[in-house]
Amino acid sequence: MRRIGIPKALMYYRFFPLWSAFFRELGCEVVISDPVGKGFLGRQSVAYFEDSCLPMKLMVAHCLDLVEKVDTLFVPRLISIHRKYIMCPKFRGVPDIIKLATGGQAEVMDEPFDFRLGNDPWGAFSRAIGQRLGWRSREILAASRGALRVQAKFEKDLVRRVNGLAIRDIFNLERPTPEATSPAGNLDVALIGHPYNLYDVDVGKDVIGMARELGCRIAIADSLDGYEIDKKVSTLSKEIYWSSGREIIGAALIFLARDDINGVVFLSSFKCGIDALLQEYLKRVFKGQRESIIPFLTLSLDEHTTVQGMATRLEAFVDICRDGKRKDAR
Amino acid sequence: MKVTFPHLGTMHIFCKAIAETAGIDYIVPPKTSKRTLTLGVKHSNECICLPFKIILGNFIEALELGADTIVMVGSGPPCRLGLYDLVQKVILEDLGLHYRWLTIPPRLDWPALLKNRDETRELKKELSLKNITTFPYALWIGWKKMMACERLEKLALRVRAREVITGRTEKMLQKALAGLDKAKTGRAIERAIIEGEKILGSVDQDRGRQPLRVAIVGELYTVMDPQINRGVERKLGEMGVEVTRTSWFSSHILRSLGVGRENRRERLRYYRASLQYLGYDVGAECNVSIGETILRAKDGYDGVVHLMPFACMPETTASGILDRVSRDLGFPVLTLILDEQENEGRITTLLEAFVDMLMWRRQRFH
Repeated sequence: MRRIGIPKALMYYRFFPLWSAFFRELGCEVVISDPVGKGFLGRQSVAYFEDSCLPMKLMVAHCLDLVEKVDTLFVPRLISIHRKYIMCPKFRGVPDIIKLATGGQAEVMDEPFDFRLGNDPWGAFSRAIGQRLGWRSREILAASRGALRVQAKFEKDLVRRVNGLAIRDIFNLERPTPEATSPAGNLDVALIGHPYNLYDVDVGKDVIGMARELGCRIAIADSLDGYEIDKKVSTLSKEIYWSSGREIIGAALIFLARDDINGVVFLSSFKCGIDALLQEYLKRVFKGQRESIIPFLTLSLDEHTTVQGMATRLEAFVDICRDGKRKDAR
Repeated sequence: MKVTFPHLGTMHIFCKAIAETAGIDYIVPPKTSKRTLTLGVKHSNECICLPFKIILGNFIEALELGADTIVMVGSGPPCRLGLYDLVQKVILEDLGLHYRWLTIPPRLDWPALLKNRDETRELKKELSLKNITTFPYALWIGWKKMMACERLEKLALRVRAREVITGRTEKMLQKALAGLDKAKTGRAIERAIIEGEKILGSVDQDRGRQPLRVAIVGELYTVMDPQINRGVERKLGEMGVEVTRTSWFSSHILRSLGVGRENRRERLRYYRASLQYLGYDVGAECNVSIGETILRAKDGYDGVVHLMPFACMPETTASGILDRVSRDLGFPVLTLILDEQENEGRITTLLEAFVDMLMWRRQRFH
């Protein structure tokens, strides 16, 4: 049986159910990397992305962790995951950096994934991968359809999983989704940011868990209607062409205008180009709107971020949100 | 109406010419200085790239001087340049400055025109018929001046590496450019070029010297603007290095217009060379930086200087890969990451050490 390694970094935190279901249905063994923890900066090959943001550096670390355990590393070249909009340009170079860093110890599967092309981009992508693994079209088609179903179900459950499961179990597909009980807590806080900032323990230091412990119900951008986000973003004077950037701006604009949200937290990576630009935009726009009194917190994440530092900021923020809510109620 | 535009190398010379010829009032922002940078840094996020900060500083200074219409180039994905205007508008508004904004779209298509509609409607009221009818001629004059600037600058690159008295070429180049700046008509520009070449030719040169050859690659804004890269080109030249670069206004404008076969072929050549390290078009100058380094190594150049602003998205990938290219080919590459913390002394020291190293290499191998 062929062992395929999926590094637990970057878009793993969005597409893992899709990818793993696809490979499992084709009869491959899927190996996931372990959390890297603190010591990863000591490794030499991380230097390949030394000028990049933390999630990118972690990608290299995860691949190095996997390289001895698997036959093939699955590092697709994500160019676009949206019909019209693209990913951050750094994603385009990731497979090449991984190839250099691992030095050819394992085969790297670097099929480009461009959702802007063709009628059925996922079909074309899965066919390219399946054929590379030596399967026939019919089996690939069945597997890719099955995988899409798994992904759709997962996306539907994501909000419940975020509110009901520990952060390590959100992407553990063996854990069933908890029932939709109204989660404990009396404060609604929206967390926005790239998925790898939100769900990666090494980057975001489990902000979700921390916020839940402080008595917050978590709202995320995935719970919003994609059409609504698009409509909101399209009113800006310039088209934002990164799909993740659109999601962040749209979600922030919607959440900050909503009454049932008590606070918005934006998680950004230090040196992330998209976040740096959009953060400035959001800050200025909300400074201009005086009537918006929902607290807005930006947390900048890098390898020096500590759990204690995050906890302090979040506690203070939650206190401010509570205060605001009490004033509203009066 | 007073038009203003950001600084970028010799861009003010030909932008001024366009506005002047078409009879539009303009204000050239003060030369990029420490204050410009401080203003830009103060009003933006720390991780935004250096060009953003400097352009913002330019605009703030120009608006303080009384300009009211900003003309800015737009660009497409995937680089951040395409969204500069979105964020800069909000920042300027927040600072309480009044302006009108005009983005030159990278491609003339419907969405671009629609997004620009409101600004252009306002503008139409203020432009007279004469302004509009002379505009094509003004563009032609601007283009001619731009080509003339590039011709003089290219000549200066060759002369500077062989000059006997250090710093002489730079002085003469400024004199030649000042002469060109004064030229008004097409014929006057031709005369200014001949005059300028004569001025540059008058610099004492050591014709026997065989200067080192170094190519500058990287993000176009840092490569083209001496204020941002702290005069890397000039410093290398005065250390006796003949500098080559492929980033010129003409090459970038021709590329975005999709004309110029020679230019396109050269870019394609670089792109193909980069494919052995980078399997896909990353965008902006990333592939060209890598491809050019590989080909320059094969062409017998002595080294490459790679310039990029801190946290530049496409060039970050390039810098990681260039490290490997340099090791594989045994070819010296110096990557300079520029931001507002940079000081000139550090760059001078790095460049001196780099040139010394190139000298040793040459003595050892040749």
